[in-house]
Amino acid sequence: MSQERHFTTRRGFVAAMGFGGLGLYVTWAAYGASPLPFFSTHASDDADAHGGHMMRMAEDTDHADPSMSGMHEGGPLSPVEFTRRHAEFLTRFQEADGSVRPVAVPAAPVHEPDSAMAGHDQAAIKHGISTAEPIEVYFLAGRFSFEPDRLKLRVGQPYRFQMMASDVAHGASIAFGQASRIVRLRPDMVTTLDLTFLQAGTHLVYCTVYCGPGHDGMRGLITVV
Amino acid sequence: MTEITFPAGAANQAEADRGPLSARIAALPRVDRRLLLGFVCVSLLALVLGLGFGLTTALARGGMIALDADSAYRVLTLHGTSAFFWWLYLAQVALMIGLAAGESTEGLKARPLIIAGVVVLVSGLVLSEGTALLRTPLLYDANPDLGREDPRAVAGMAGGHLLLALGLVLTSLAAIVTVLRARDRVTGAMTAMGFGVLAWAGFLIVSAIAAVNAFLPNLLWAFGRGAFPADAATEWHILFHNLHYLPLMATVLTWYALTQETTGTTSAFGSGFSKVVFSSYLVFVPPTSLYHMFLEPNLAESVRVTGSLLSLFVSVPTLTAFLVIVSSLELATRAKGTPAGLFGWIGRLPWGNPAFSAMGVAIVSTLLGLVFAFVLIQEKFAPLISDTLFVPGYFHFFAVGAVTETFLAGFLVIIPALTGRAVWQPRLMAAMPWLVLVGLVIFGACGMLAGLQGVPRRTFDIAYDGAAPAGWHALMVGFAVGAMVFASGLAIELFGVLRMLVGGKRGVPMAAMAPRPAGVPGGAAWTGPIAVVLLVALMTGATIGTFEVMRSLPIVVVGGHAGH
Amino acid sequence: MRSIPLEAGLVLGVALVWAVLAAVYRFSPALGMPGYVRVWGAGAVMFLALAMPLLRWR
Repeated sequence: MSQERHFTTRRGFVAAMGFGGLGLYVTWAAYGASPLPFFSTHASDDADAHGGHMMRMAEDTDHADPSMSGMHEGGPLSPVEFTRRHAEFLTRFQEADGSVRPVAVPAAPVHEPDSAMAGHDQAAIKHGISTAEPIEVYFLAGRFSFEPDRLKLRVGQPYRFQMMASDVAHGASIAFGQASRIVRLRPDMVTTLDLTFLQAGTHLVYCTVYCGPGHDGMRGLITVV
Repeated sequence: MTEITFPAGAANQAEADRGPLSARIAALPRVDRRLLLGFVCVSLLALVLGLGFGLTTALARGGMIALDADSAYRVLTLHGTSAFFWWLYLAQVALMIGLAAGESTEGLKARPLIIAGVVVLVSGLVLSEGTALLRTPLLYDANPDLGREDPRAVAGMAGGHLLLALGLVLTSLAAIVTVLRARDRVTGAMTAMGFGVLAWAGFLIVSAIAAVNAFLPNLLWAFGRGAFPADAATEWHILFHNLHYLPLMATVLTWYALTQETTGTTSAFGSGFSKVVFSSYLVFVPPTSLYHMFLEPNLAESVRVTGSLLSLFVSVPTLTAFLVIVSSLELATRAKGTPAGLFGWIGRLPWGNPAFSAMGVAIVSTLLGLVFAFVLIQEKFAPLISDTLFVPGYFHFFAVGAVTETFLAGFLVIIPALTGRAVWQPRLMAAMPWLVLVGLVIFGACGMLAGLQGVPRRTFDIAYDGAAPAGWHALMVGFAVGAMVFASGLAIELFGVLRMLVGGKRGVPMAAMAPRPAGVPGGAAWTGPIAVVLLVALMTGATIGTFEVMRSLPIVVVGGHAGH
Repeated sequence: MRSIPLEAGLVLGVALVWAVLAAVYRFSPALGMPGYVRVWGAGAVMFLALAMPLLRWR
């Protein structure tokens, strides 16, 4: 083996090629989804308003901090507070046919957007999305139903979904035909998701985590008008 | 000052001088051959069960057979338990013991540990299957949440998994002792395979520790000796990461042995480099573990982002091993003549050998699996495809196409050496892996498309009384058809393997090639690097496609995390 | 200068990586997953033990 090796047969070359999968970082960066700032390009406003692939996280970033439990205003809800508000939500917004149509509470506090929000709001206006404070929706998943199981929402209106599983882990997925949007829900853990629907339509909501023998029947409907 | 010695040529020559693996296996003491056959038989039983229940699951999901909810989830539990836990791990034990024994001229060491391992593993298999058959179906992860009203189900499933863990520890210890005693008496050097078995066995032991961490609290709760395991989901994810990485490491080690056995080619990069590659699996396992949890609501955003970045490294060991094997094969084949063109050498490989054919399909299937695995490691996609049929759609490229085909290829070398029976219908057996691949492509394409559209992973009735999107049903039919095709190919391969155990013709095993060190006469080896570039291009295409699907959703989403 | 066998060096390297990861999980409050500390920590100890016979040969 005294002859000079071709570079494709050198150990260093082979070892370097083994890291080829890292090349995907460039694609992530191009879509504004790179974990590090290297080569990252900010997603356009268009991208932000479609499908939420640039999911901006809520203002409070230390979500794993247990000391946050029990906070209500501006912080995550405790399970007890969630249960109280959920019951109140159903009582207030349930209609005669059993569906729930949440509407804005007149006394809602004015939201002051920070600088990071400003771009988002401009995009929102461009796409006909209301920049009003989101309407709170309380959504409970339990064996083997969602509560409420029929929601009526408005196009362009932001909704803040506060969601929790009451017994075992569940999923809540909204079907849009070409794709779905999934949330995994754990018992006694309130998950927050801000959603704005851009088109009218009726969407199936279904459980995506096997939760027992009635799992297949665990579904609901969101009607957007 | 300390320096690490890096043997290359000498160790390679020593490996080449030992002769084929099949000859070394055939020369083992009778007791070792019987033990090895025992593990092979039990693992094949698990494969029969896993395949049968898996096909039933796919047919039920495609609407081709009707199952009530209890039966459906019981079948799914049996499929996951039989295939993922028992087939993949019993087969690993069989191959690990076989490769370890092949290192030593005196056969296995610490045989009492192996005998105890057989007893423990068979007991665990019976307990797992019995519980899955008779008690509340908890799925293969033995979720204690689903067994709150049936603690015996939790105890049985956790007990089965813990017995598997104990069996892995016992057999791995024996493998470690065997390869340590087989070291060169003068220098203490190990062959690449000897070191690979050591690293593999060590990883199996750590995974057994992870199993104890995950399942012992469940068992204690079920027996009324502990609190309810509230962290069971997290502990399962820790174990699962090891469990899905281990078969891939075993696969690559088996490729290494099969390449030598079926073509006579040893690594062109030296045994020292192979040892580095094998140990790199252990280096890249811990940091890449977070991507299984991206959909967990309580995972901090910083962890989610870091996990996504680290997951980019998940393929490093497998791609490097792939390059070592493919480039070594290319150099060795080109050294025999001058095949036309860039890829002409591929046609000169021994595709008529069923073991090589299965390995070739396994390599292609691994690359296909990697294309889509890299979609899942982007945390932004978790709300789009985690918990959907996309996951089983892609991972069967690994579980069936890569790992199962490789393990069966290993058995096609080991079993004839143990029984003296020839491979049944070699031409048919060499063709079947390609049929499996065709089925997997149909199954994977339909499953991943269905997953992208939102079809849930573990739901049998997805009609939702007519409320489901229109395209779902057709994709599920394709998914079931794909399963039928690959299950047919696999069933024929399985039959052929069983014929080498019972009733097959006695005869000469497939020609094993005498190993020789692969020289590097200044030639180039372009196929591996081109394949990696193509792979990255396909990964990029799949990722862009998924981003575009995500952009098409008519919603704006912010958040998706929990407070506590 | 003292040399150690490649095999021992690699296994010690693995033990080191696992120990560092266990420490990161132990001391990073954002992670909050003690199971990782137990598993990677036990793995670090196991690979350290595995390196011993590889070192002792010479």
